[in-house]
Amino acid sequence: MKRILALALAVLMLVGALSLTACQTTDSEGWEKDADGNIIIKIGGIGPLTGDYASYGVSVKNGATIAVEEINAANPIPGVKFELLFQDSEGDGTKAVSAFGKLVDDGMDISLGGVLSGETKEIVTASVESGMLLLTPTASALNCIGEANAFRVCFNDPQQGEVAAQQIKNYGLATKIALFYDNGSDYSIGNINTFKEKAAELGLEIVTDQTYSETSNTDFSTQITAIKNSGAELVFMPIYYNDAAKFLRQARTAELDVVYFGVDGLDGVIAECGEANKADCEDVILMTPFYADSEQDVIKNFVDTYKTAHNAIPDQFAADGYDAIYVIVEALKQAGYTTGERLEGVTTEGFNAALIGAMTNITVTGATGTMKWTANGETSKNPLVLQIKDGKYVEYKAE
Amino acid sequence: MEKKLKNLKFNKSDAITLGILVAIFGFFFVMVFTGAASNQMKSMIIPISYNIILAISLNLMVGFLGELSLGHAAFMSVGAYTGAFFSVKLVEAFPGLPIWVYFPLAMLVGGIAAAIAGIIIAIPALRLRGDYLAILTLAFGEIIRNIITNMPILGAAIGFDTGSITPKIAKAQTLLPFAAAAVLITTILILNFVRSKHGRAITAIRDNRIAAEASGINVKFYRMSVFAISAFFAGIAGVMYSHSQTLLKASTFDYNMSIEILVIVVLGGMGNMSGSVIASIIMYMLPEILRDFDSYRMLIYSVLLIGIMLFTSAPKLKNFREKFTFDNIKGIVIDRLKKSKKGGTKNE
Repeated sequence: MKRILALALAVLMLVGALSLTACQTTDSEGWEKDADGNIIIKIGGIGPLTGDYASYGVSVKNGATIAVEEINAANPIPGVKFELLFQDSEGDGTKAVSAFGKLVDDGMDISLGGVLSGETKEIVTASVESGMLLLTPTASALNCIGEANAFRVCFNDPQQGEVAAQQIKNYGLATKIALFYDNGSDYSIGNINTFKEKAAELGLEIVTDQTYSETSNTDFSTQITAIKNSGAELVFMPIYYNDAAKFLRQARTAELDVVYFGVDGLDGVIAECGEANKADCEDVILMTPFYADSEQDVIKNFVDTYKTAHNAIPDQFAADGYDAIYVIVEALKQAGYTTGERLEGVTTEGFNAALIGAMTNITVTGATGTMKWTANGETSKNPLVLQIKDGKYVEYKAE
Repeated sequence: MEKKLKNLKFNKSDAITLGILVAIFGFFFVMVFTGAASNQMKSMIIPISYNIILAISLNLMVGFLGELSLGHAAFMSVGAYTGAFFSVKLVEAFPGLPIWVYFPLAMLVGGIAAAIAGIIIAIPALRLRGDYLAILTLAFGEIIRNIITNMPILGAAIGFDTGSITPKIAKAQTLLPFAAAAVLITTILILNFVRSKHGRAITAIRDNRIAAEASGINVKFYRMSVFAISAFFAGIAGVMYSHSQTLLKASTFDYNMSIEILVIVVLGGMGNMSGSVIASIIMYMLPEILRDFDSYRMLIYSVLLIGIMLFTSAPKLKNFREKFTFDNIKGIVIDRLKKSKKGGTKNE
């Protein structure tokens, strides 16, 4: 009978789950050590490595891996080595919580939260019980952190929308603005809401509000016509680079002659437009704390290592993942764990509390700028206003 | 009361289904409350529970009524949002309200809302059959998702925050009793429905609609009621989902999710309730158990799925396996025993 076989299979799976329980080790028995007697601090990352958002998760993972390798080679904390564990969330909150459970079972000491905002919110809630430091590289929605142990490396979306409006005003880019965004994306909506408020406050006029959804992101002709007819001088587009490239292609063909202004999601648009349609993204302005062509040493080093390791130019996500690891090292040092010996005999609770306390007292200069943290987990850094000129980012200068 | 109990209709396979469920949840209870369960395992219990409810409620529609529905995630989302909205408002009005008050109430509210959605979709669906119906339910799912995405009161694209109604500490311990009760009650009710007069009417409609109609079965009524019942339980599963998450996003409930539920039903066997239960567990646990394989995980998972599908459903393998059924083996063993007994007496 099929049923009995199926039953046997189910029992096998339960036994499998049981054996999973059996191999878990706890921190109460002390730190895990490598062959040379170095304490291993396990940093656990979660992100979509498969599915629609896989590119984001893979970028964060690659960036963080490079940072861990660099730090283990440089040995900033003698007697301590780092290990990065990374689990796939498939972009789903439920799976992310299971991934978090798996990482806790594997002995994770510090969490990198999630890559996407939705999954990070679930992970943050799940992490409350363990109380460990959680530092998400890229989850930008306002509500996705908000527990005492949770911090983030990136901007939050509302912050970004507000700064964008301010910059448009400061540079005198336009007074009549069209909005173009994905109304099913928390990223877009988060940006747009505060942008609208700030724009009203600054006396910028929003002449049209054009949206699309992820199921209708191939043909933008109606939106482009509407923007054209509205007499807008600038299109504010807080969307991701893949949709942006499609939009730009169609807008250029339709000869929509306006200023195109985006935020950090637009990073990557040059590669997406490609050599053939290079002209599409010419003159596009975007705000981002990171760009790969920067002359700064820290960024140059990172970009070079990344290129050799993964044969690709790192994006924003990779840079955030890279910075997150350095921030953790800095927090460890600030907490007084400057050598491996100082970690001996520290309780898990003491370790977590010391790290979380240290987060608000550190200043880190990484690939995405100079960062400081407030107790509610938010960072402050200055985004650069960049313009694409001849397939490269240059810092924007008002004409 | 006694009469009512007598009215519950079960057969042997139903007893096996219930037995499996009791065994599984008994196991979960022991693991969770003795603290033996790993964190990963604790995180799987609630998803497995609502997947079981989703699968058996869809099985009612697909396996017993014989109608392909791709809108199950939509019913789930209606339940999830209504239940969560109800609970959030209730907790707002009465801060500190214990979970055992609002959670069961929310299940009822969410279930009823989903059932209403089921009836609404049944009205146009009654006019269609087969593939056409599948496409209609698919479209319905997209409509629901788009409506929710554009409702500011439900958080629109940002998502609906359910942090205030989801237990943060000891989540598995708090939710497990509710989940176990919901799964068992759902299963008993659906099994009983299937084995009743109404269940026979539904299978009759599936097997031969014209003959069923000619025998005086009200086809419209039964199709509509199956839509409503199936949606009701999907709604309950949705409420369980929303009370174990802290953020509800409409984009989660897309057609991929409906297809995933359908895969569970097909994998377990259409019309086979215990199969649905086991398949729900396998489908959720398998990728989790494979986490140690890192980047090969999804590959191995897919290959295993193909393997399981072939093993359970390929005709040749089926014939091969049938030689080794419990009854056959029992027969063979008894035969051997008899022979050896005979042989033994001879030698003496």
